Amino acid sequence: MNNLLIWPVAVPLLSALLALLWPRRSTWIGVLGTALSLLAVVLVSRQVIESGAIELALGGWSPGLGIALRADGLSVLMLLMSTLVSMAVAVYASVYFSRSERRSEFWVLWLLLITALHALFLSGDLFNLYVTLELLGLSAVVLACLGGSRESLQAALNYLVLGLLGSMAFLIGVALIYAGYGTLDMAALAVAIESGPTAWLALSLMTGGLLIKSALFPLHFWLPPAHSNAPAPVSAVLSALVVKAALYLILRLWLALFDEVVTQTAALILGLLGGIAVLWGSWAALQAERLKLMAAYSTVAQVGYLFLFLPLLAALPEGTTRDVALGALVLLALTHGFAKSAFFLAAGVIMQRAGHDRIAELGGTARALPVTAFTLALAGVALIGLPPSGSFLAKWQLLSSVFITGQWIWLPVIAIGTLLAGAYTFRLLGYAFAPGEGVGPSLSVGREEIPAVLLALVATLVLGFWASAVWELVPISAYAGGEG
Amino acid sequence: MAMSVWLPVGILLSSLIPGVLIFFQPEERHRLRTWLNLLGAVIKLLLVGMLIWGVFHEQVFETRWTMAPGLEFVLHADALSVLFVSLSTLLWLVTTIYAVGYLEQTPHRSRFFGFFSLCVTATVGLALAGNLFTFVVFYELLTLATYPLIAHKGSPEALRGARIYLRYTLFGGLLLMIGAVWLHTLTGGVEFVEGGILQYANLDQSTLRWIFLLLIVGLGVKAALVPLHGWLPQAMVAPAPVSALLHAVAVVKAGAFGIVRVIYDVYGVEFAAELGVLTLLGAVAAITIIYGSLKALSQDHLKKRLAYSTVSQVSYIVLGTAIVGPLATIGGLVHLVHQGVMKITLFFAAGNYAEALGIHRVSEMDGVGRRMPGTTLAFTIGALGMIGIPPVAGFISKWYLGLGAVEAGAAAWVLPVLIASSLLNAAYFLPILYRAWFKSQSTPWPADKTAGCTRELPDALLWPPLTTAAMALLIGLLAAAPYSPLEWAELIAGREYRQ
Amino acid sequence: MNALILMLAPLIPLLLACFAYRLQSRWWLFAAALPALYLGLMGEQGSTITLPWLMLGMHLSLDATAQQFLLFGAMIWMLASLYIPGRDLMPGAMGHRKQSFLLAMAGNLLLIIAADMLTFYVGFALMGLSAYGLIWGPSQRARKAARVYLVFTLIGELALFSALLLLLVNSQSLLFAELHSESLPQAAVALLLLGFGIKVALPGLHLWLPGAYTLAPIFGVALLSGPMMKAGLLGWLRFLPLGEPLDPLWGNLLLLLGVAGVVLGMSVGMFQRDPRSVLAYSSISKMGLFSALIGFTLNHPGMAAELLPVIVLLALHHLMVKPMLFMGLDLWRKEAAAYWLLPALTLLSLSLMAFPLTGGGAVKNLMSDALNDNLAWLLFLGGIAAALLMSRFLWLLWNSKQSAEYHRLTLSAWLMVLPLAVWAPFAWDGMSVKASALLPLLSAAVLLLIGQFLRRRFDLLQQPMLSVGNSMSWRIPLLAGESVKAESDWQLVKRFRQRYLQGFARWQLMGLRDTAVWWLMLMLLLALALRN
Repeated sequence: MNNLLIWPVAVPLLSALLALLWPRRSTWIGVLGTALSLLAVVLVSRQVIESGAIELALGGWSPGLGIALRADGLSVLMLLMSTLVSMAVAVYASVYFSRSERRSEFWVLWLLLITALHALFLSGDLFNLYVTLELLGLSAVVLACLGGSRESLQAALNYLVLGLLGSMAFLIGVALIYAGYGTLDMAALAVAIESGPTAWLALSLMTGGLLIKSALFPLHFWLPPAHSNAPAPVSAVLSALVVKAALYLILRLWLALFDEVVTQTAALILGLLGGIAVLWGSWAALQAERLKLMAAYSTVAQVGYLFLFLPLLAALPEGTTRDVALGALVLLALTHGFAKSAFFLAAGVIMQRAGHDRIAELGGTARALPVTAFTLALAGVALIGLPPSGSFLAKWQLLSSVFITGQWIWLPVIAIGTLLAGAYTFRLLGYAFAPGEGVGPSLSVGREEIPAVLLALVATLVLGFWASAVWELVPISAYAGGEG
Repeated sequence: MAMSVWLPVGILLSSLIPGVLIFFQPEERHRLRTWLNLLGAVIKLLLVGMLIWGVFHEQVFETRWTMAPGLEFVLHADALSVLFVSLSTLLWLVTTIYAVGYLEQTPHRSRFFGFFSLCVTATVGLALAGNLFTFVVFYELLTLATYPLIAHKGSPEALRGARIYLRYTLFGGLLLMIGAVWLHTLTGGVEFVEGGILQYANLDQSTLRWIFLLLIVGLGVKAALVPLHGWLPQAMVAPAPVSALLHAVAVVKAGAFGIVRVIYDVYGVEFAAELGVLTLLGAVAAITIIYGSLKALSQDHLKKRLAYSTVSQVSYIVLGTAIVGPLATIGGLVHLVHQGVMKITLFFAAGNYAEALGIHRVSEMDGVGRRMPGTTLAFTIGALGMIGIPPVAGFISKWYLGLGAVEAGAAAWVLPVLIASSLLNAAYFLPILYRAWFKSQSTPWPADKTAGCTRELPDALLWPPLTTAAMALLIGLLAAAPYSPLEWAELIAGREYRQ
Repeated sequence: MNALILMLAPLIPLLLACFAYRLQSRWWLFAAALPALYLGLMGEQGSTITLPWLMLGMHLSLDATAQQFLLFGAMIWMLASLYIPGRDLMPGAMGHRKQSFLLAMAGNLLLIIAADMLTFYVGFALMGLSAYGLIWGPSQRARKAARVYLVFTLIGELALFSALLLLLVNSQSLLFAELHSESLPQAAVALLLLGFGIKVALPGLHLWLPGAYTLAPIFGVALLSGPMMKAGLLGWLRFLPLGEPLDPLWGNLLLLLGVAGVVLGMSVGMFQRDPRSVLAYSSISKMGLFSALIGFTLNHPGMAAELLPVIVLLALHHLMVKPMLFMGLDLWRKEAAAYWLLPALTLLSLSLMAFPLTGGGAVKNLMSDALNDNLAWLLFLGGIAAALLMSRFLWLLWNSKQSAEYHRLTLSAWLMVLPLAVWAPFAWDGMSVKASALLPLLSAAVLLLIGQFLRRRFDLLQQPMLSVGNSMSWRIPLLAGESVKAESDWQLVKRFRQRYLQGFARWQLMGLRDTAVWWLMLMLLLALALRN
């Protein structure tokens, strides 16, 4: 049964090969491949939910030498999110790219990206993580410059350089670990790693690399141009998934592998940066004149929220309260993933219809594109953290952790961040609901509008009312020194 | 058994489902939309009737759903929630009929009625919320559902009003949430229990005071306590049915209801008094009452005058809550209902004036009584009730508030406030009545849309204000009758002070 | 059955008020008071009805006082209904007259039969506020008068409201029967005095009265001066702990205010140029007398049992006579000042002056008996005031002759009620005649003579008095019934000061004779005051 684990990686990879060989049918292959990987992920998740963490050593080699795949609660959640989002985006992209000449390139890269993501979430050792990270970064960069404009190329180049820098740092860290402990298997390392120069040097290098990829303030400058200039489906995936992948790794490292090494001060520094990111990102989003730029800055802010959890997690004693906080962190990440992808897809719809995404000229959107306007509103609700979205629950628990740990400093950050998020969301909605002719004539609901609204509904309703599943899954850990 | 679980959910769904369905109806399907709305409203009314009966006989209605560890979504019907639920349900039905008539031939009706139903769902959810967490959830949902209603017209003023509304309510919601989380962290879950829970929790008193402040400021924004009232006069740009619902049931009442909940069912009124927080609240309420009335005096815009009147009147509820003693409690609670019925009448009438004759200002109302006798009659009853003239409902509230104040030994400052406010109410309502009934038309109507019609207005516009006016009169006249709001408030007060 | 009719008394006018806009005949309004009349005549005393579901529980009962009030009140209501002008009954008319009339009637009847404080208050408020529509007229000044009335009424009602709360919490019951005076909050008494004092027009609280009485339509004035004003008095009778000991402060205060009212009414009323104003100030003076009597009763709980019925009787007599006078005045104007009306009006005036062989005289006898020789000076003062004012009224009447249309209905109805108004109190007192009753009248006559002399001497009031008789410029506005200049107290004081200052120069030159006259007058006053 453990062979199941191979499929979430293998299906998109094979589809990518097929798409490469058969470019005329690439759209079909792409959508079908994504759907099949969705199926594979669902099967894996069922397995994990039923019988706990599962592990697969590829090629029969024992962990430590071969490629090990592991699935536990956290990875299953990330997998589910990424596959659901990519499914929706794929459906959207099938319309978005239906007339594009770059259709086949997109689908190949798209499937590769999914492969890399799934592999990353399932990888059980550090080197594999590096490989998948590199693959993810490269395919993301290429996807980002599919837009073809000068700005998008420039942005993609920046993204590439920074991404390589980050990967390099990560690789050095991995090398240090291998030199120090003689293994790269994460389960083994989780037991082996102790506090020491090697450990903290490695951790800071790896974390540093990942921070670039997750665009924590002040390393975020590459993100807004890259995300806002990419084609809409790509932006959606970049913002929703790729950033989260880096974050996932940070969580794995900080909570499972290096939990002995992590100090309160280090966590506090990341938290502080996260706090500044919240404020700065929200403020920048409020100033943004373009819809997609606004969404990109909002991503910066949301990533900041996620980092706010780190000092709190470090301060909380292991046990239920910490699990609750960790669950909240994951839930926030998931909600953001769904909401932000919905937001970008909706922005894409508007851009295609209106030919621009200047916020001030969006009057009439609500009339011409009611479903899309509704999507924007729902996604906005999730971004602010209003009920019934999942982020409301997450924020509640975040505040709760603040009160439990007594780290009052985060209280104003969260408060102001929330208000700013409300401000930029409703600024947008105000324009969208205003009368005007900024967006073309009223048409019936288009196929491309549906995925976005579904994603937004997941973020606001499903993750709100059925969020307790997250807290049930998160404690299922594949790593002994892990979280609880 | 299943009944007790499903009834609260059913009450929520009976407006939620029509609301969601309406969103997907094309603009032209007027009839279907109306039927959906009315069907939902009637079903809800029936369910609420069952709920009233059950709660009266001390049955337990409760639905629980774990949303996150330690965070339960609880719908629970106690006497207090029933009071608010039945008010919102009844007025929703009336308002829906009114809105159908009012919005005839205007764009975006599907959107409007969709959000309208959501708004009611949120209000009912608020009423049925069984713990602080659920309350916060619905409190925020209410903000979200009302925003599009206020912005409905899409004009710059409407958008501005909605923006200001949002600014205030998001801020308030945030503070409420912070306070709620804090309290939640300290106690591990805040269920609403009659008589309060915190007095047994043995917590640091100054912390509890801070939390109280956070909660009350958060709720005070919606309840329009001075100085958090700024959004209310701006929000009157909304279409008349929205203003009616906003002022009578939904938003403003949600704040007041929340304050009642926090004081009675979280802190416990005696414990809150022990903490010394009620004096401050009472003072704020008193200031609000007077300030709102004073501001209302100088407004020429009819709806703005009504809005400031709401500011003043809603604080009666808060005042009744802030005075310890069952009689004051009854006064505050019963005003929750009475103010709703009277104010909705006034807003319906104001809407009718604007709709039929284009009258938006008090100074344009000369002689309108002769032209629109039905509407003006309704307005008159509402206004007299607001002043507290017997036997209209407002008198009963004022009576119990005054009694409560005397009983609690607070007569020295409460009675003057009540009297001053009554005089001020008279000073800003009676001139309107005077213009309407006694003066004759001096200038042509701003926009006469019913010229040449034999009837004053279409039925859907005329009957809702008349119905609510009759209700205002009847619940005052029959205050001592069984199942009247007063009886119900007495029931609640009895349960709150039982211990 | 009786209990049912008890309920019907306020209910029928209330129901009719709902359909007032359809009522085109004054007979509807007339009929609305019939149940009350029935109760007053044939109602079974002690019949009660409790409606626990109505408001906070309503208790109605018919005691002796209530029955008398109902009887006389109903007559005035019925009579007044006939005076409503036809244009107010037209289908297209705004109809607020009819509504106000019916609502005020409902309130008035309700408060009379109320057995608990709240019911009384409801009736009182209903009556007081509806009366706005009875005062209101289209002219600027009538509107102002109505507004002033409304402000005072509202203040009074709120004072009453607060008093009620205090009383309720003190005695834990709304019923009048269960009110007790132990630990009665002082504030409650003060508020009661204030609340009803406005209706009763205690000096200082009377400012609404002259305007309302001179500018309201005639049926409005009749009702205001009759049933409504007495409602305030009834309020005191019901609410105040008469017959139980109370802080003497309140009794004295009321006594003092009452006397001040008598004096104020007399002194200002004497200088009015409009017969209506004179009647208005006469009301102030009369009510001052009643208030003083109530104040006295408060301080002498032992005498309450004897005094109260007589006070009621006195009040009822006034309740009848004063509206009759107002309506008679109206007839006088409308009937082209028919000379045969003058005796009738004189008769009424005499009754108000407590002339022997009139009802007024009879009540006064009863009163002096009940008072047991206390307070005779007060009765005397009241008598002088009434006599002076009524003389002034008749004098003004005599000097104003009008011509206008003819109203058979109102006239005959008025004439039918006339004997009742004048002699009704004889039902309580035989035909006893006391010479002493004439004393105030005689002194008033003396005073009038002196006044006349002084007037000639100082030319003090010459101007207006002459103009009454001669100038048309005064009459025309009176005909219109609107822009009559009712002088407020302040204007009067101002006028006096001017006159006085003018006269002052002459005063310096005043000879011995004048000084002697002044001295004599003072002596006379002293002697009269010390007559006991």
